[in-house]
Amino acid sequence: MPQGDYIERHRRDYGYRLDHFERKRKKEARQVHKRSAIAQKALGIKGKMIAKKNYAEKAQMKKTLAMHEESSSRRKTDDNVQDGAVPAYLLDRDNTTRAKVLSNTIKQKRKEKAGKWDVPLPKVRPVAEDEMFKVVRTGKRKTKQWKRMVTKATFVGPGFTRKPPKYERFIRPTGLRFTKAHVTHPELKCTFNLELIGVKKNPNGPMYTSLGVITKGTIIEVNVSELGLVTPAGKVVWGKYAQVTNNPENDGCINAVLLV
Amino acid sequence: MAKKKEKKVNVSGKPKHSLDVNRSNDAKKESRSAATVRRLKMYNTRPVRDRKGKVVSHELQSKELPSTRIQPDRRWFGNTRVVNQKELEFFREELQSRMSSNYNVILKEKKLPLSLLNDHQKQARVHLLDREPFQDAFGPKTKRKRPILLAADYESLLKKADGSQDAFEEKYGSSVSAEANDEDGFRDLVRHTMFEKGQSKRIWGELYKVIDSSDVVVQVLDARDPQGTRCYHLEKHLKENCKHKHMVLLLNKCDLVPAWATKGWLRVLSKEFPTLAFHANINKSFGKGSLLSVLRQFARLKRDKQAISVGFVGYPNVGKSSVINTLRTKNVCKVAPIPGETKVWQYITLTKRIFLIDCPGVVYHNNDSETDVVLKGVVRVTNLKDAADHIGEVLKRVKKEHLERAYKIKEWDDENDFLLQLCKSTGKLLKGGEPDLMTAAKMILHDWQRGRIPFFVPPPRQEDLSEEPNVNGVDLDDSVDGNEASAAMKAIADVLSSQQQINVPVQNDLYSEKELKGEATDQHPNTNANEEILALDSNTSEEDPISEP
Repeated sequence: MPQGDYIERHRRDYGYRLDHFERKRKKEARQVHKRSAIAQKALGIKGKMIAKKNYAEKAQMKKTLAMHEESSSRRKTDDNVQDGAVPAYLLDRDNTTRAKVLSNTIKQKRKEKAGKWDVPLPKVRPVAEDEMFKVVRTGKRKTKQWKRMVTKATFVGPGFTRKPPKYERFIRPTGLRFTKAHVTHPELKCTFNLELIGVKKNPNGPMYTSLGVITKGTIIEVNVSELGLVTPAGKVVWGKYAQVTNNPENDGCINAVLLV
Repeated sequence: MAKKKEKKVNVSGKPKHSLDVNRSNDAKKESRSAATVRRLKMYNTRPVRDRKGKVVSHELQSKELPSTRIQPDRRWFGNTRVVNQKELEFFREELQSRMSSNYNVILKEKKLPLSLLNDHQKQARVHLLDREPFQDAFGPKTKRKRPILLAADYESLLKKADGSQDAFEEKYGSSVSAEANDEDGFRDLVRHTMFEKGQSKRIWGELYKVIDSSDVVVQVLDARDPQGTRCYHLEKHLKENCKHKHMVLLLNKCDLVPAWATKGWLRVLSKEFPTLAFHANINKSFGKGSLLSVLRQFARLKRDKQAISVGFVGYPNVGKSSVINTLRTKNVCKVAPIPGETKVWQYITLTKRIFLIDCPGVVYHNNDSETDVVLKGVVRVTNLKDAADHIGEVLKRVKKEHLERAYKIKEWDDENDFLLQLCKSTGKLLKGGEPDLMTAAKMILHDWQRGRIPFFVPPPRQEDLSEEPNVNGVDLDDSVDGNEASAAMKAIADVLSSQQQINVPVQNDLYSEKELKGEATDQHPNTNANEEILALDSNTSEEDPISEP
């Protein structure tokens, strides 16, 4: 008898070795790494043959997996054929299901929603710190360099008083302070000279917002008492936001668009 | 600016040196707080350089560009401040009753719709084209044959121009005298730059810097001439543009005038601003306690701030630096009896919460003559080249007995004769026995500036001469008031009224007994003419009348 038959007879009569199945499982697990090592080390025509065989196995496996993952929402419907009412020239046309219609509707709504609450200038040219501040040298020998002069337009508010010189790091010049802005109503197409109430957001950073720096794109709060706006509840509106549209430090005035 | 917390290498919690940031903020310990240590380290920040001297990094000077995208948000497009109709009426009534007084303060003006309360100012532009467009009278679409003009012909235009000119002259009557001067054919001499002291751009830059840094502005006046040493332009500027700052008037050198004159001026000036009398001397001062009380009340009024700054402004040589030295009881500012000693602004610490700012003397441009400028003490006497020209005015303003006592000269015909006698008695002679009029005149002007020759402008006459304290705008009977602001202002008013009742000290041997009791004889009918002249010139005191009690 062949040798394999003797092994089979011995296993049938006396059973398998006690660690046979464990060793078999481990050997199968190591096969993957062993084959990978062989594929990496193989050279020449032998390497090409191994690569081709591995590619074919992988492609076949992917096709098998994709076959089981077929999408049910795009399946062809065969119910209409039973009615027998479809003309001959429409037999090759597919009917899409309701799911696609819903997904298209949701996408459209999101697209519309994105542009509704945009400010007129969503993104402006950034201003670096060396352009925003200028070093002021103080002291008897002009060696102290911790003070900074703000080189842009600022708003300081009605109750502002400068700090003592030992505590004041950011100096806002008097000539660059503004109290009024030219605000244009985008729907009425007219311009008013309104008083500033505060600086809400400077796009270059929150530090400039707290300092009251006004650059292009800054959102300011203006006093709209002159416009005579009233809420539906009958209250008088006297504060609204506007966005700056020019460079105030160059033009000498603040032009803004009212956000309505 | 985000606080850069230094990394904790010291785990035990105790600071290793005085500039170690890792320390507790316990109020019991008297060591430096963490914020103070951070500030002290900030003073030494310098650019970091590499081996070749190139700047690698400098704090707040980086070239990195930030992200400038503004996120879409529906809150940008809503209303930020809304007010109810009932609240609006309440605000309007409250504001009208309180804003008329100089002793009431609006603490937070930002949250009030003040522009809704105030009425709109009238339009300054003439909307000509809105009423009648151009093509109504010209072009292919004409609707009328001739345009609407102010006048139909030349004569009616002349009449209209004359009418508007007459209305203008009635409205601004003071300019008629200026035009009368033009009709003489003479023009003003180009005066020396010496007489424009205190009016340069640098000095006014210092003044606006002081005003910008001050919460309380103390205007120091000379008690001998309070209206002449006032700066009306500054008071108007504070009322219009800096409503949150407070103005206090300080009558310095009150020992050089009689007590009744000081009290009279206190009564007159207290109607406009809080006014205090002061004598700036480190050892024997008057009014120091009152001024300190007023400043502490202002510091209490602005309790939300960490410290307040008090700026001292006024004419040159009125004693601003001396007042600061008196408050500190130390020589912290350089002082001299000549104008222009203070050249830049100075910052002085009075207490932990009160800072003082010294300012150089400022002069607003007005129609003062050269003699007025000299006698106010604006110009340094040693620089005058024609000092003898101003002695006539001095002889007119000072009484004869004071000059007799000061210079031992009995009789003189005019100012030249007076100067001649003074040269002989003091020995100011040139070669050949010729009198030196220039030196003698400078001596007299020096004595005038330093108060050796007594002189004062009497206060305007009051209708009711009662001794009741006159502090305007504060209801003293309102004792139950929970508002802290009105409590502080009432305390200030109490300080003012109590100082008006205190006996004001006067320098010895300066005035006679008759002049010290001059208030009783103030009702003499001879002084009515002088009072009327003073009342006419009360706005701009160009010439001071002869002071006779």
